[in-house]
Amino acid sequence: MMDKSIIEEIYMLMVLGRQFEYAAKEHYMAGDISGFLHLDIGQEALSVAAMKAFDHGDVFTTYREHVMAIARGIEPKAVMAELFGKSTGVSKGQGGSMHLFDPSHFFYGGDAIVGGHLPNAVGCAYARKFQESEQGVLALFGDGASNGGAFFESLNIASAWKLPLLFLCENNQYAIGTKITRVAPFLEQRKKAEPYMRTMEVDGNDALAVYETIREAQSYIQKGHGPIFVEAMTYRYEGHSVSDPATYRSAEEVEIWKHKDPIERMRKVLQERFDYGTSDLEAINKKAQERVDEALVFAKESPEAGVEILYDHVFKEVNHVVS
Amino acid sequence: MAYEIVMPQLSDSMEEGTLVSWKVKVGDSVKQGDVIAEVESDKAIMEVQSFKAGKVEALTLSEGENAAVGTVIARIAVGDLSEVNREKKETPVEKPMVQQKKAEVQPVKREVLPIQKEYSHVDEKAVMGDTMVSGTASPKAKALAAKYGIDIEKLQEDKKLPKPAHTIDIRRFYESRYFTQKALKALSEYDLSTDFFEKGRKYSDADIVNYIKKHNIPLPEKLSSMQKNIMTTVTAAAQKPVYHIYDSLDSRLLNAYADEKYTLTFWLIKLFSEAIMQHEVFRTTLGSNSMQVWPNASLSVAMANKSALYMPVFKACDTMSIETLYETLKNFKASVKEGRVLSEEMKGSTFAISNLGMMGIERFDAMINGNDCGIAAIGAEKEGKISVTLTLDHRIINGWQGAAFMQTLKTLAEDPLFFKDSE
Amino acid sequence: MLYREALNRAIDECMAIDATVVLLGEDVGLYGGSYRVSEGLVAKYGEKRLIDTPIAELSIVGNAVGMAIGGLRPIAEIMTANFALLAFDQIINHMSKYHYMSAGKITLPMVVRFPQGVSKQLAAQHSESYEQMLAAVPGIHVFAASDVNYAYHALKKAILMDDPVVFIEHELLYNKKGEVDFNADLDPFKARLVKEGKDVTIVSYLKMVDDVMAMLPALEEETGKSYEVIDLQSLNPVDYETLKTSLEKTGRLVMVEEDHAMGGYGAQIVSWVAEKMFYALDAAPLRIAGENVPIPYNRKRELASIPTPEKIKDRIIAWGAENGL
Repeated sequence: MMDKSIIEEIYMLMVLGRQFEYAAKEHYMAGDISGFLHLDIGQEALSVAAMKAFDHGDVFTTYREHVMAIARGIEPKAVMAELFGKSTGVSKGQGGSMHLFDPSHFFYGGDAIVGGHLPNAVGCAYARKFQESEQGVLALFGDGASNGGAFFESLNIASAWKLPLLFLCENNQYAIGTKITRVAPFLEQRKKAEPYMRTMEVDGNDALAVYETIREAQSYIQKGHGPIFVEAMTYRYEGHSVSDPATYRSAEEVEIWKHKDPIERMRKVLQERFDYGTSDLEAINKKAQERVDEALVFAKESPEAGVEILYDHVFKEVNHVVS
Repeated sequence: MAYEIVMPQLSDSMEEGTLVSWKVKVGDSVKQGDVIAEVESDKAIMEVQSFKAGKVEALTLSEGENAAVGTVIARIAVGDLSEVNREKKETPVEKPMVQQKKAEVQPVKREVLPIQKEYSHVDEKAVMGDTMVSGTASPKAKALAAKYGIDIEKLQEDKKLPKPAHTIDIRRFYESRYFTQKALKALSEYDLSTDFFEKGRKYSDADIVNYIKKHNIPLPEKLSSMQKNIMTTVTAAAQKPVYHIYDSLDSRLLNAYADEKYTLTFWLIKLFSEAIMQHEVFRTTLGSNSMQVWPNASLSVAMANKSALYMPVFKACDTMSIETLYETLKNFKASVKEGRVLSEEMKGSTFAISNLGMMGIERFDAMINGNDCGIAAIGAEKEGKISVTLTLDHRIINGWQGAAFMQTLKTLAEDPLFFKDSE
Repeated sequence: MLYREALNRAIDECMAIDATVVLLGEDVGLYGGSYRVSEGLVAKYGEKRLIDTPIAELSIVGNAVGMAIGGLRPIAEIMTANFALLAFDQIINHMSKYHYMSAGKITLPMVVRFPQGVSKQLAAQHSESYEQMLAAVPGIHVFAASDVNYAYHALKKAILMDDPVVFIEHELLYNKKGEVDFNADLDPFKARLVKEGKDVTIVSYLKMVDDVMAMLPALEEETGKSYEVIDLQSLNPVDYETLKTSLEKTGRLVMVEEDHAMGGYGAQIVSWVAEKMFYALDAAPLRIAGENVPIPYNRKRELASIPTPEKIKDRIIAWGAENGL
């Protein structure tokens, strides 16, 4: 049975996550944020619960990473400032939405190349095994990545060398506008991993189920059984990114999934199992909103570094940069 | 409190948008995220959402109307955060896929073209044309011409400079204009650049000579291989652990027997040769791991002409008859005069003699030549004595042995029998 | 010692100094490396540190990036440059950019090494050179070892430095003999003055340096001029200082390279010289590079597609005659 405080924290982060994403979208429309903005709205259960459950290891994820970063412990202020391109951002404004790196939280972004981070996760898992550390690695990727070469190479190597790697497939069925079943022989991507390793399936919109599953998977890889593949079915309400009007999905389909809204379900759990009243929930919502507002103020008021840092961090040692 | 929704910036280039349709009306309740309108930008039709929950208070733009980005288009009264109950809609069924008719597959027909032999190379000449107009010169040449005050373009037109001109052309022209051939030759000998001379006047070799005297410019002479050899030899000699023995020989008998044919040098060679045969260690050279004791005495003698010093070797001179020794010495003297001594003829000695007595030098010490174990420096005669200074390599000959050798020399020099037997 | 032995020793010594140095690639462990560069190492350091990978170049470099993130110091060996294309996304989008995108939070102390160039009749897909593409990428250092001494010292420095390096070798250099001065403190970012001269500066790198030196005595004799030869060694960053000193003396540049002329590496050098040293030039620069064709199998045509000592000499003589030399 899960601890009440963890469940509340998960709920709070999910609400915060959604508020954050809406605030990001709003400010994108207002021109404060530019480039690509990939929103996680609708997938909060997976993002938050997986991060809270996988508390002992390295995380490699995709560009749809804001909520995961926050759930991992990175300050929403720093994330929003990064989106605003400010020097107080997670990556000092050098990376943007898709490149949030924080080694102190064992969080390595944020890769704009679909599937590109999977070989990196494999390598990191090798390093952890080499160092005989208890730490494993979680690699989260979408259904889109599971058709690429890097995916198959990673399954192969991780299982050949029995690496402590948790493959977490966020199957929201769409890779931009392409439904997975049009470009893969089946819907369930874990079938591809079956010849290589143990696979698990979970309802990505059930935060508690995600939490339990990831805990179990983490324990599995920590015990040295080799890699494991967890597939979480979920759905994003927004387009692939803010510039995508998502005309490839029917309104009906979106409605079906909104009925399974993860935040709704968590709220019910708190109400029915833990006797949370409306005012308790409102208090949590309010607190979440406050943190988001705080983050916005911080981002707006933070300084923006100029051209003077253009050549910073090209190299760590001698900066042999010729302009 | 009202929450205002503005015309959004849907793309970088958008400046105004058209309201296509409202999805809500005044009085409707909206949840965070609900779509309230469709708006057309310069690129596409996009949905506009309310980011806050509340009740629609006002819609300030009509369908079909335009507004600039940032204009308020709706107002939402933000009320309580209680969720609105949703009407449960029917879960629609997914539509089945439409069957496609199979078509006949035709083989792909691709024409095989003949090989293109005309390469589409750019004809450089056609494109570049004649770039070598008058005035064309390399940047360095132009700089040099400017320095010398030379008009490249004019000179090229007058065919006095090539097209294009390089620094060597500029320099040649400048030099031929302002320096005589002899002057250039002198400059080359003394390794001087024409740049040292003020521009604008002509210089003859006399001018150059004056300049050289005035500035005390040395004449650089490249080292010949012989000079380099000598340098190597004497440097090596200086490294050897040597010591000296200073003594002299009685000159009476030497003077008595020396004549036009059998000179002093002849007798000295004989003397030393005999002494060397009696002292094995003076027939010894030092190899890398061993001493080499030679059965014969091989003596080299320093001989000089006006420009160089040679050390020809009298190989196994102890075995030479008087005649042979005389011939050898005569031949060497001739060779040295002509500067024609072969390097083979200067190898194979164990000891050497150097005589500066004829120059009036009283005493000096010589440097060991090559691999020899020592050298004897002969001085001028003074009060019946000829000075002999031995320089000996202490690795081969110790002081006692050196002294013994010296004794032998002195004895032989005063032994009439030695001179008689040698005749 | 041999060039490949110098590389072997460099890797060996780094593995001895630092227990986090690992070498991964195809056949680097049990097989000892397809060019024998890692011979004997697996016996010394074990299979955990000499990692035999499957044929998956994207993963070889991608895994190395991950290992570096996890705290190791990996050397990723790609069998030849031609296969490295599969790993270019990891080299360019990940290895070179992570330090910058993370504003310095992620450090990748790793080396990617491979041989490149025309060997003997290996045909078009096995004969390419990609230094021009990699030298153009900000965030990585690119070294090209021609000299055995440089191979040893620069590889050691590359492994032990905290920035990512692409270390380029050449198939035909592995058995080249050379002296290594183990006491030297070599700066891998500096070019090497192979031979001093005063009339022309010849710039090259990798195997072409040997081709230049092979024809040099005959060239000097035939033209009566003296040529200065520079081995760039560091392709990015470039030791422009050494180039400048040389060109101020000679005023004439010859650039010799094996890759295709179009967009080839040498264009960068010639461009820099034209831009920065224009007024020191006494002649238009000469660029000698490979032909713009895929490399053929047939030996005659293979040799015709790249610079060779004879060709280099003839072209320099012809250029000299047209350019007042």
